[in-house]
Amino acid sequence: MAQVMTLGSIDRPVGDARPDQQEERVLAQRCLDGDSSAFAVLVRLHGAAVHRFCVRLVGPSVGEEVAQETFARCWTRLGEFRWESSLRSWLFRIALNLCRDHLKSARVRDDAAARSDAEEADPARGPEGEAVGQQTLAVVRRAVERLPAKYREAFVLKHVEDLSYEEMQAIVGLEIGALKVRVHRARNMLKALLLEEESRS
Amino acid sequence: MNPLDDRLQTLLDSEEHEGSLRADLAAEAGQAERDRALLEGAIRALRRPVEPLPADFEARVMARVAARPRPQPGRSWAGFLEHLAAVPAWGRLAGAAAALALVAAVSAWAGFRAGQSSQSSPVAATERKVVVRFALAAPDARRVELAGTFNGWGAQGIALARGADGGWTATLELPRGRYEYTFVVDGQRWLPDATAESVEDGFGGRNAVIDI
Repeated sequence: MAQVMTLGSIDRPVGDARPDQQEERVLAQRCLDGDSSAFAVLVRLHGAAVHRFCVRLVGPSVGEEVAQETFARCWTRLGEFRWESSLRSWLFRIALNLCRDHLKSARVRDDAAARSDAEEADPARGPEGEAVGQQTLAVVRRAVERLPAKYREAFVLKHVEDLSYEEMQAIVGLEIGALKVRVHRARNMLKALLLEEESRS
Repeated sequence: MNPLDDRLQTLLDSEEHEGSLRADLAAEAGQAERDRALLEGAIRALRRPVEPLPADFEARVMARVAARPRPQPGRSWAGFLEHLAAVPAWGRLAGAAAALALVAAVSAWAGFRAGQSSQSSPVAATERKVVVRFALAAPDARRVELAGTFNGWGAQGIALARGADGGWTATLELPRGRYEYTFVVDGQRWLPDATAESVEDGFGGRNAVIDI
Protein backbone atom coordinates (compact mmCIF):
# COMPACT_ATOMS: atom_id res chain seq x y z
CA MET A 1 0.00 0.00 0.00
CA ALA A 2 1.34 3.40 -0.84
CA GLN A 3 2.55 5.45 2.10
CA VAL A 4 1.33 9.02 2.24
CA MET A 5 3.57 11.48 4.02
CA THR A 6 2.13 13.14 7.11
CA LEU A 7 1.76 16.89 7.17
CA GLY A 8 4.58 18.50 9.10
CA SER A 9 5.58 17.08 12.49
CA ILE A 10 3.46 14.68 14.52
CA ASP A 11 2.66 17.58 16.82
CA ARG A 12 0.78 19.53 14.17
CA PRO A 13 -2.99 19.17 14.33
CA VAL A 14 -4.38 16.71 11.85
CA GLY A 15 -6.50 18.06 9.04
CA ASP A 16 -5.41 21.61 9.64
CA ALA A 17 -4.49 22.54 6.06
CA ARG A 18 -4.78 26.24 5.31
CA PRO A 19 -7.55 27.02 2.86
CA ASP A 20 -6.93 28.95 -0.30
CA GLN A 21 -7.55 32.69 0.09
CA GLN A 22 -9.31 32.91 -3.26
CA GLU A 23 -11.84 30.32 -2.11
CA GLU A 24 -12.30 32.17 1.16
CA ARG A 25 -12.95 35.48 -0.61
CA VAL A 26 -15.65 33.90 -2.71
CA LEU A 27 -17.21 32.25 0.32
CA ALA A 28 -17.07 35.58 2.15
CA GLN A 29 -18.80 37.30 -0.75
CA ARG A 30 -21.56 34.72 -0.64
CA CYS A 31 -21.95 35.53 3.04
CA LEU A 32 -22.32 39.20 2.18
CA ASP A 33 -24.96 38.20 -0.33
CA GLY A 34 -26.87 36.65 2.56
CA ASP A 35 -25.87 33.00 2.13
CA SER A 36 -25.20 31.77 5.65
CA SER A 37 -24.39 28.26 4.36
CA ALA A 38 -21.18 29.73 2.95
CA PHE A 39 -20.32 30.94 6.43
CA ALA A 40 -20.81 27.40 7.73
CA VAL A 41 -18.04 26.37 5.32
CA LEU A 42 -15.75 29.02 6.82
CA VAL A 43 -16.59 27.73 10.30
CA ARG A 44 -15.65 24.24 9.19
CA LEU A 45 -12.38 25.48 7.68
CA HIS A 46 -11.23 27.45 10.75
CA GLY A 47 -13.28 26.12 13.67
CA ALA A 48 -10.76 23.62 14.97
CA ALA A 49 -7.87 26.12 14.90
CA VAL A 50 -9.84 28.93 16.57
CA HIS A 51 -11.28 26.56 19.20
CA ARG A 52 -7.84 25.14 20.00
CA PHE A 53 -6.37 28.66 20.29
CA CYS A 54 -9.11 29.82 22.66
CA VAL A 55 -8.87 26.70 24.81
CA ARG A 56 -5.12 27.16 25.14
CA LEU A 57 -5.60 30.70 26.40
CA VAL A 58 -8.67 30.48 28.63
CA GLY A 59 -9.49 26.81 29.25
CA PRO A 60 -12.01 24.41 27.68
CA SER A 61 -15.42 25.66 28.82
CA VAL A 62 -14.76 29.37 28.40
CA GLY A 63 -12.65 28.63 25.32
CA GLU A 64 -15.56 27.03 23.52
CA GLU A 65 -17.81 29.96 24.37
CA VAL A 66 -15.20 32.42 23.13
CA ALA A 67 -14.61 30.44 19.94
CA GLN A 68 -18.33 30.49 19.12
CA GLU A 69 -18.52 34.23 19.79
CA THR A 70 -15.44 34.77 17.61
CA PHE A 71 -17.26 33.42 14.59
CA ALA A 72 -20.45 35.31 15.45
CA ARG A 73 -18.50 38.57 15.49
CA CYS A 74 -16.70 37.59 12.30
CA TRP A 75 -20.11 37.15 10.62
CA THR A 76 -21.33 40.55 11.73
CA ARG A 77 -18.14 42.38 10.71
CA LEU A 78 -17.23 40.43 7.60
CA GLY A 79 -17.93 43.41 5.35
CA GLU A 80 -15.25 45.40 7.15
CA PHE A 81 -12.48 42.89 6.54
CA ARG A 82 -10.02 44.23 3.96
CA TRP A 83 -7.97 41.05 3.35
CA GLU A 84 -4.78 42.78 4.48
CA SER A 85 -4.05 39.60 6.43
CA SER A 86 -5.35 36.06 6.14
CA LEU A 87 -8.87 35.37 7.33
CA ARG A 88 -7.45 33.06 9.98
CA SER A 89 -5.22 35.81 11.35
CA TRP A 90 -8.26 38.06 11.59
CA LEU A 91 -10.24 35.35 13.39
CA PHE A 92 -7.35 34.88 15.81
CA ARG A 93 -7.28 38.63 16.41
CA ILE A 94 -10.99 38.65 17.29
CA ALA A 95 -10.48 35.58 19.49
CA LEU A 96 -7.49 37.12 21.23
CA ASN A 97 -9.43 40.27 22.13
CA LEU A 98 -12.32 38.18 23.47
CA CYS A 99 -9.92 36.00 25.45
CA ARG A 100 -8.30 39.11 26.92
CA ASP A 101 -11.72 40.29 28.12
CA HIS A 102 -12.36 36.95 29.79
CA LEU A 103 -8.87 36.71 31.29
CA LYS A 104 -9.70 39.69 33.49
CA SER A 105 -12.36 37.71 35.29
CA ALA A 106 -11.56 35.43 38.22
CA ARG A 107 -13.92 32.84 36.79
CA VAL A 108 -11.47 31.94 34.06
CA ARG A 109 -8.61 31.45 36.51
CA ASP A 110 -10.83 29.14 38.58
CA ASP A 111 -11.79 27.18 35.46
CA ALA A 112 -8.18 26.75 34.42
CA ALA A 113 -7.09 25.79 37.94
CA ALA A 114 -9.89 23.23 38.24
CA ARG A 115 -8.89 21.72 34.90
CA SER A 116 -5.26 21.53 35.98
CA ASP A 117 -6.22 19.79 39.23
CA ALA A 118 -8.30 17.24 37.34
CA GLU A 119 -5.48 16.48 34.98
CA GLU A 120 -2.87 16.03 37.68
CA ALA A 121 -4.17 12.54 38.43
CA ASP A 122 -4.03 11.58 34.76
CA PRO A 123 -0.78 12.62 33.24
CA ALA A 124 -0.72 13.05 29.46
CA ARG A 125 0.54 10.07 27.57
CA GLY A 126 2.43 10.19 24.31
CA PRO A 127 1.33 8.23 21.27
CA GLU A 128 3.44 5.29 22.31
CA GLY A 129 1.80 5.28 25.75
CA GLU A 130 4.85 6.79 27.43
CA ALA A 131 4.72 9.75 29.79
CA VAL A 132 5.61 13.08 28.18
CA GLY A 133 9.17 13.44 29.41
CA GLN A 134 9.36 14.22 33.10
CA GLN A 135 6.52 16.75 32.86
CA THR A 136 2.84 16.05 33.12
CA LEU A 137 0.54 18.14 30.97
CA ALA A 138 -0.94 19.54 34.18
CA VAL A 139 2.44 20.83 35.33
CA VAL A 140 3.06 22.48 31.97
CA ARG A 141 -0.39 24.05 31.82
CA ARG A 142 -0.15 25.40 35.37
CA ALA A 143 3.14 27.01 34.47
CA VAL A 144 1.74 28.54 31.27
CA GLU A 145 -1.32 29.84 33.11
CA ARG A 146 0.93 31.62 35.56
CA LEU A 147 2.56 33.57 32.75
CA PRO A 148 1.31 37.14 32.52
CA ALA A 149 -1.34 37.35 29.79
CA LYS A 150 0.74 39.12 27.16
CA TYR A 151 3.57 36.61 27.49
CA ARG A 152 1.18 33.66 27.52
CA GLU A 153 -0.40 34.95 24.31
CA ALA A 154 2.98 35.39 22.65
CA PHE A 155 4.15 31.92 23.70
CA VAL A 156 0.95 30.19 22.57
CA LEU A 157 0.89 31.97 19.22
CA LYS A 158 4.55 31.26 18.52
CA HIS A 159 5.05 27.78 19.90
CA VAL A 160 1.61 26.15 20.11
CA GLU A 161 -0.05 27.66 17.05
CA ASP A 162 3.35 27.69 15.30
CA LEU A 163 2.79 31.06 13.67
CA SER A 164 5.44 33.19 12.02
CA TYR A 165 6.24 36.56 13.51
CA GLU A 166 4.54 38.17 10.52
CA GLU A 167 1.33 36.29 11.27
CA MET A 168 1.61 37.21 14.93
CA GLN A 169 2.04 40.85 13.96
CA ALA A 170 -1.28 40.75 12.08
CA ILE A 171 -3.00 39.27 15.13
CA VAL A 172 -1.43 41.14 18.03
CA GLY A 173 -0.72 44.41 16.27
CA LEU A 174 2.83 44.81 17.57
CA GLU A 175 6.05 45.25 15.62
CA ILE A 176 8.00 42.06 15.02
CA GLY A 177 10.87 43.22 17.21
CA ALA A 178 8.55 43.73 20.15
CA LEU A 179 6.98 40.32 19.55
CA LYS A 180 10.40 38.65 19.58
CA VAL A 181 11.18 40.30 22.90
CA ARG A 182 7.88 39.04 24.34
CA VAL A 183 8.50 35.49 23.13
CA HIS A 184 12.05 35.56 24.50
CA ARG A 185 10.84 36.77 27.90
CA ALA A 186 7.99 34.26 27.86
CA ARG A 187 10.47 31.43 27.33
CA ASN A 188 12.66 32.58 30.21
CA MET A 189 9.69 33.03 32.53
CA LEU A 190 8.19 29.69 31.54
CA LYS A 191 11.48 27.93 32.15
CA ALA A 192 11.60 29.28 35.69
CA LEU A 193 7.93 28.44 36.31
CA LEU A 194 8.35 24.90 35.01
CA LEU A 195 11.23 24.27 37.38
CA GLU A 196 9.18 25.70 40.22
CA GLU A 197 6.10 23.60 39.35
CA GLU A 198 8.19 20.46 39.01
CA SER A 199 9.79 20.95 42.39
CA ARG A 200 6.34 21.49 43.95
CA SER A 201 4.79 18.43 42.33
CA MET B 1 29.06 38.58 21.30
CA ASN B 2 27.48 36.10 23.71
CA PRO B 3 28.92 35.39 27.17
CA LEU B 4 30.36 32.05 26.01
CA ASP B 5 32.45 33.85 23.36
CA ASP B 6 33.92 36.13 26.06
CA ARG B 7 34.89 33.14 28.15
CA LEU B 8 36.47 31.37 25.19
CA GLN B 9 38.54 34.43 24.39
CA THR B 10 39.68 34.54 27.99
CA LEU B 11 40.65 30.87 27.86
CA LEU B 12 42.65 31.33 24.69
CA ASP B 13 44.36 34.37 26.16
CA SER B 14 45.30 32.16 29.12
CA GLU B 15 44.19 34.91 31.49
CA GLU B 16 42.26 32.51 33.71
CA HIS B 17 42.99 29.11 35.16
CA GLU B 18 42.22 26.75 32.32
CA GLY B 19 40.71 23.95 34.38
CA SER B 20 38.09 26.06 36.15
CA LEU B 21 37.21 27.93 32.97
CA ARG B 22 36.71 24.74 31.01
CA ALA B 23 34.49 23.37 33.77
CA ASP B 24 32.42 26.56 33.78
CA LEU B 25 32.04 26.46 30.01
CA ALA B 26 30.94 22.84 30.11
CA ALA B 27 28.46 23.61 32.86
CA GLU B 28 26.98 26.53 30.89
CA ALA B 29 26.62 24.42 27.76
CA GLY B 30 25.00 21.67 29.79
CA GLN B 31 22.56 24.10 31.38
CA ALA B 32 21.65 25.53 27.97
CA GLU B 33 20.90 22.02 26.75
CA ARG B 34 18.74 21.28 29.79
CA ASP B 35 16.85 24.54 29.27
CA ARG B 36 16.26 23.68 25.63
CA ALA B 37 14.98 20.21 26.51
CA LEU B 38 12.71 21.63 29.23
CA LEU B 39 11.07 24.15 26.91
CA GLU B 40 10.76 21.75 23.98
CA GLY B 41 9.13 19.20 26.26
CA ALA B 42 6.64 21.83 27.40
CA ILE B 43 5.88 22.82 23.80
CA ARG B 44 5.28 19.19 22.81
CA ALA B 45 2.95 18.76 25.77
CA LEU B 46 0.98 21.89 24.93
CA ARG B 47 0.60 20.90 21.28
CA ARG B 48 -1.08 17.63 22.12
CA PRO B 49 -4.80 17.88 21.33
CA VAL B 50 -6.71 17.38 24.54
CA GLU B 51 -10.05 19.07 23.99
CA PRO B 52 -11.50 18.07 20.61
CA LEU B 53 -13.79 20.40 18.75
CA PRO B 54 -17.31 19.60 19.99
CA ALA B 55 -19.44 17.84 17.40
CA ASP B 56 -22.13 20.50 17.66
CA PHE B 57 -19.72 23.46 17.41
CA GLU B 58 -20.78 24.43 13.91
CA ALA B 59 -24.47 24.16 14.82
CA ARG B 60 -23.98 26.37 17.90
CA VAL B 61 -22.07 28.95 15.89
CA MET B 62 -24.75 29.06 13.19
CA ALA B 63 -27.43 29.47 15.87
CA ARG B 64 -25.58 32.55 17.11
CA VAL B 65 -25.13 33.80 13.56
CA ALA B 66 -28.86 33.49 12.90
CA ALA B 67 -29.51 35.87 15.77
CA ARG B 68 -27.04 38.51 14.50
CA PRO B 69 -27.52 41.17 11.86
CA ARG B 70 -26.39 40.26 8.37
CA PRO B 71 -22.97 41.53 7.37
CA GLN B 72 -22.99 44.56 5.12
CA PRO B 73 -20.55 44.81 2.21
CA GLY B 74 -17.96 47.52 2.44
CA ARG B 75 -16.89 49.70 -0.51
CA SER B 76 -13.78 47.61 -1.11
CA TRP B 77 -15.97 44.74 -2.24
CA ALA B 78 -17.44 46.62 -5.21
CA GLY B 79 -14.63 45.78 -7.59
CA PHE B 80 -14.50 42.20 -6.38
CA LEU B 81 -18.18 41.70 -7.16
CA GLU B 82 -17.53 42.15 -10.88
CA HIS B 83 -14.88 39.47 -10.75
CA LEU B 84 -17.17 37.28 -8.69
CA ALA B 85 -19.77 37.21 -11.45
CA ALA B 86 -17.37 35.06 -13.47
CA VAL B 87 -17.05 32.48 -10.74
CA PRO B 88 -19.76 29.84 -10.99
CA ALA B 89 -19.83 27.53 -8.03
CA TRP B 90 -18.33 26.84 -4.63
CA GLY B 91 -18.96 24.45 -1.85
CA ARG B 92 -17.73 22.92 1.30
CA LEU B 93 -14.80 21.03 2.53
CA ALA B 94 -15.53 17.42 3.50
CA GLY B 95 -13.57 15.04 5.67
CA ALA B 96 -10.04 15.29 6.88
CA ALA B 97 -7.95 12.41 8.25
CA ALA B 98 -4.35 12.13 9.34
CA ALA B 99 -1.82 12.01 6.52
CA LEU B 100 -4.39 11.71 3.80
CA ALA B 101 -5.90 13.77 1.08
CA LEU B 102 -8.81 16.19 1.64
CA VAL B 103 -11.42 16.44 -0.96
CA ALA B 104 -13.58 19.54 -0.92
CA ALA B 105 -17.08 18.79 -2.07
CA VAL B 106 -19.02 21.92 -2.73
CA SER B 107 -22.57 22.86 -3.08
CA ALA B 108 -23.55 23.64 -6.63
CA TRP B 109 -24.64 27.00 -7.74
CA ALA B 110 -26.15 28.05 -10.95
CA GLY B 111 -23.24 29.24 -13.03
CA PHE B 112 -23.33 32.13 -15.32
CA ARG B 113 -20.53 34.25 -16.61
CA ALA B 114 -20.54 37.98 -17.18
CA GLY B 115 -19.82 38.93 -20.76
CA GLN B 116 -20.59 35.58 -22.28
CA SER B 117 -21.83 35.79 -25.83
CA SER B 118 -25.55 35.55 -26.47
CA GLN B 119 -24.83 32.59 -28.78
CA SER B 120 -24.19 30.48 -25.64
CA SER B 121 -26.99 28.04 -25.17
CA PRO B 122 -29.23 28.68 -22.19
CA VAL B 123 -28.32 25.23 -20.89
CA ALA B 124 -24.58 25.99 -21.00
CA ALA B 125 -25.12 29.42 -19.44
CA THR B 126 -26.86 27.92 -16.44
CA GLU B 127 -25.10 24.54 -16.32
CA ARG B 128 -24.54 23.51 -12.74
CA LYS B 129 -20.92 22.94 -11.93
CA VAL B 130 -19.24 21.99 -8.73
CA VAL B 131 -15.91 23.30 -7.52
CA VAL B 132 -13.88 20.55 -5.95
CA ARG B 133 -10.61 21.08 -4.11
CA PHE B 134 -8.17 18.20 -4.02
CA ALA B 135 -5.39 18.28 -1.44
CA LEU B 136 -2.54 16.00 -0.53
CA ALA B 137 -0.11 16.25 2.36
CA ALA B 138 3.28 15.44 0.86
CA PRO B 139 5.90 17.85 2.18
CA ASP B 140 8.81 15.89 0.69
CA ALA B 141 7.41 15.68 -2.84
CA ARG B 142 8.95 17.73 -5.64
CA ARG B 143 5.77 17.73 -7.72
CA VAL B 144 2.27 16.33 -7.38
CA GLU B 145 -0.24 15.83 -10.17
CA LEU B 146 -3.84 14.73 -10.31
CA ALA B 147 -4.97 12.21 -12.90
CA GLY B 148 -8.47 10.97 -13.35
CA THR B 149 -11.46 10.41 -15.53
CA PHE B 150 -11.96 14.19 -15.66
CA ASN B 151 -8.79 14.59 -17.76
CA GLY B 152 -8.71 11.20 -19.45
CA TRP B 153 -5.93 10.04 -17.11
CA GLY B 154 -3.65 12.49 -18.90
CA ALA B 155 0.00 11.52 -18.73
CA GLN B 156 0.99 14.97 -17.49
CA GLY B 157 -1.90 15.15 -15.08
CA ILE B 158 -3.17 18.32 -13.44
CA ALA B 159 -0.43 19.99 -11.44
CA LEU B 160 -1.16 20.70 -7.80
CA ALA B 161 0.19 23.86 -6.21
CA ARG B 162 2.42 23.60 -3.20
CA GLY B 163 1.46 25.54 -0.09
CA ALA B 164 3.79 26.96 2.54
CA ASP B 165 2.86 24.14 4.90
CA GLY B 166 3.97 21.43 2.46
CA GLY B 167 0.41 20.64 1.40
CA TRP B 168 -0.48 20.39 -2.30
CA THR B 169 -3.83 21.57 -3.69
CA ALA B 170 -5.71 21.87 -6.95
CA THR B 171 -9.19 23.25 -7.49
CA LEU B 172 -11.31 22.01 -10.42
CA GLU B 173 -14.73 22.98 -11.73
CA LEU B 174 -16.51 19.80 -12.72
CA PRO B 175 -19.97 18.98 -13.98
CA ARG B 176 -21.90 16.81 -11.59
CA GLY B 177 -21.08 13.14 -11.91
CA ARG B 178 -18.87 10.33 -10.74
CA TYR B 179 -15.12 10.54 -11.19
CA GLU B 180 -12.19 8.23 -10.52
CA TYR B 181 -8.83 9.81 -9.68
CA THR B 182 -5.43 9.34 -8.15
CA PHE B 183 -2.45 11.48 -7.13
CA VAL B 184 0.87 11.10 -8.93
CA VAL B 185 3.89 12.05 -6.81
CA ASP B 186 7.14 12.99 -8.56
CA GLY B 187 5.90 11.35 -11.72
CA GLN B 188 6.42 7.91 -10.26
CA ARG B 189 4.25 7.04 -7.28
CA TRP B 190 0.52 6.69 -7.78
CA LEU B 191 -1.22 7.38 -4.50
CA PRO B 192 -4.93 6.78 -4.17
CA ASP B 193 -6.94 8.86 -1.72
CA ALA B 194 -7.20 6.44 1.18
CA THR B 195 -10.05 8.38 2.77
CA ALA B 196 -12.29 8.09 -0.30
CA GLU B 197 -14.36 5.27 -1.66
CA SER B 198 -12.27 3.27 -4.14
CA VAL B 199 -12.68 0.87 -7.01
CA GLU B 200 -10.35 -1.55 -8.73
CA ASP B 201 -8.46 0.03 -11.57
CA GLY B 202 -8.16 -3.11 -13.67
CA PHE B 203 -4.38 -3.18 -13.19
CA GLY B 204 -4.28 -4.65 -9.71
CA GLY B 205 -4.55 -1.29 -7.97
CA ARG B 206 -7.40 0.95 -6.87
CA ASN B 207 -8.66 4.37 -7.85
CA ALA B 208 -10.40 6.79 -5.55
CA VAL B 209 -13.95 7.74 -6.48
CA ILE B 210 -15.84 10.94 -5.89
CA ASP B 211 -19.53 11.55 -6.56
CA ILE B 212 -20.55 15.17 -6.93
